[in-house]
Amino acid sequence: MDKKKLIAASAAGVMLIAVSAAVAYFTDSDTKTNVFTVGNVDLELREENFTGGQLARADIRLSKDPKVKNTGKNDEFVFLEVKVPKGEVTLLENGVPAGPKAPRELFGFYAGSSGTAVSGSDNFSYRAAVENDGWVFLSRTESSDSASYVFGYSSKISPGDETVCLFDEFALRSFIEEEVPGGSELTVPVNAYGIQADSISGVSGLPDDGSGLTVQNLKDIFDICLNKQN
Amino acid sequence: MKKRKVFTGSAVLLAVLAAAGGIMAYLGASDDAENTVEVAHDKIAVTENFPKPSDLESNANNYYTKEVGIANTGNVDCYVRVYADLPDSAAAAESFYSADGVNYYSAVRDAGLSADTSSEDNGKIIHTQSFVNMLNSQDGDWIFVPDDDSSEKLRGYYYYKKPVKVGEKTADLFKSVMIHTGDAPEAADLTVYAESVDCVYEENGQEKTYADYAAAWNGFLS
Repeated sequence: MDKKKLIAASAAGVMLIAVSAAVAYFTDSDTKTNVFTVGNVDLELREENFTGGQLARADIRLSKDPKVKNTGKNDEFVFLEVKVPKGEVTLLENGVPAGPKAPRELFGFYAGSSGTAVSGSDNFSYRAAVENDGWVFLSRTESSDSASYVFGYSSKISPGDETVCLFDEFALRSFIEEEVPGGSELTVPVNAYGIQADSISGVSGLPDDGSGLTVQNLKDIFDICLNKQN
Repeated sequence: MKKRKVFTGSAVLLAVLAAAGGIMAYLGASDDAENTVEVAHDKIAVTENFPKPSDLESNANNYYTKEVGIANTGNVDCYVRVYADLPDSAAAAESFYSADGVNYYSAVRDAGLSADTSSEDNGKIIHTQSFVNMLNSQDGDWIFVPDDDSSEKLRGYYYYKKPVKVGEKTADLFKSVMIHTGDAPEAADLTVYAESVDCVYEENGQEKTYADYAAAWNGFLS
C-alpha cells in the first residue's frame, strides 16, 4: 500500500469512528415498507353442483363436477387428484355377482356421452383433452383403502379462467347390500394443485405457449408441484 | 460492538435471500374438498306390544294384546309389507284379529268369508268375516293382496299403502288377537314377518320415485 492510500484508509477509519460516535449520541429511526409484486399463484377448486351429505344409492348418479379456477395473477398449470374409497364388496351387474368379493373402488365417475374411460378402469370416465382443452390422465395409484387418480390440464390456465369439469357425476357402485354398512359415511376427497406456468425449468419439450401439454410434460410438472407442496 | 451489528446484518440478509429464494423457486397453490356422502339403506323393525300371554283357558275366548307395527329405522323412506299368519290351519280357524281392540275378524284368509255376521262377547264384537276381507273393504292404511290376486308376486302379504318416512312407524296392523278354545286348548303360533323396499329406484342412472306401494313391490320383485 502506498502512502496516499494509507492516508486515505486512515481518514476513512477516523470518519467511521466519528459516525459511530455520532450515532451513539444522536438517535433516530425511520421505517419504510417496500412492496415488491413478485406474482401470485392461487386457485379455487369448484364443485358448483355438489351437495355434501347426500344419500348414495347404488347406480343413482349424483352431481359432482370438480374444476379449477385460476384466482391468482399468473398463468398456471393445474392438476386434480381424486381419491376413491375402496371396500371389500361383491360387485353386481344386472343384480347378479360380477365376480368374487374383493377390495373394490366403491364409486363410479361419469363424464357424459363424450367421456373417456381411464385406461384399464371400469369405473372412471373423464373429460379428456380435445383441441387442447380438457384433462389428461396421468396416474392411478392404489392403497389398501383407496385408489388415487391424478389428472393434469392440457393447457395453462390464465388468471380468471377455469378448466372444464373433470367429470359431471358419480354414483355408488352396485354391490351386495350391507357389505358396506348402510348409513356409513364415505368421502371422495378431491385435491387441486397449481403451479406457475412461466419459467418452469427441467421439463423437456414444454410447448412455448403452454398448450397441448403431453402426459410426460404434465407428469414432470406435477412432480415439481408435489415437491413444492412437500 | 460494530462486529456484532455486521453479523446481525448478515443474518438478516441471509434470511431475506432465503425467503426470496423460496418465492423464486416456484409459485404454487392448492385447494381441496372433502366430499362426503352417506350410504342409503332401508331398514325396518317390527315393533310389537305383546305382553307375556297367560295360558289359554279351555272353552273360552282368550284375548291378547298384540300391537304390531313397523318402524323405519333406516335413512330412506320405504314401503313395507307384512306376512302374518297362524301356520296351523286349525288354530287359524279359531283365531280372530282386531285392528281396533273391539271388533274381531276371522284369521282365516279366505275370500269366501266376505259376508259378515257378528256376535257380542263382553263388549267385544266377534265377526265371521275374514280379517283380510274386512281390511280390503275399507280404505285404510293397510291392504291385503289375496292368494288369487293377479299380481302373483304380491300375494299373501299385508301392504302398508303409504311410504313410511325415516324415523316413523306404520299404524298398527293388529291391536289384539282372540283365540277361541275347546276342551283341550293347544298352543298357537302367530308368525309376523316384515320386509321393506326403498321408495326410490334407479333408471338409467337417474333417481325415480315409485308411484305407489304396488309399483314399488312389483318393481322390486321383478
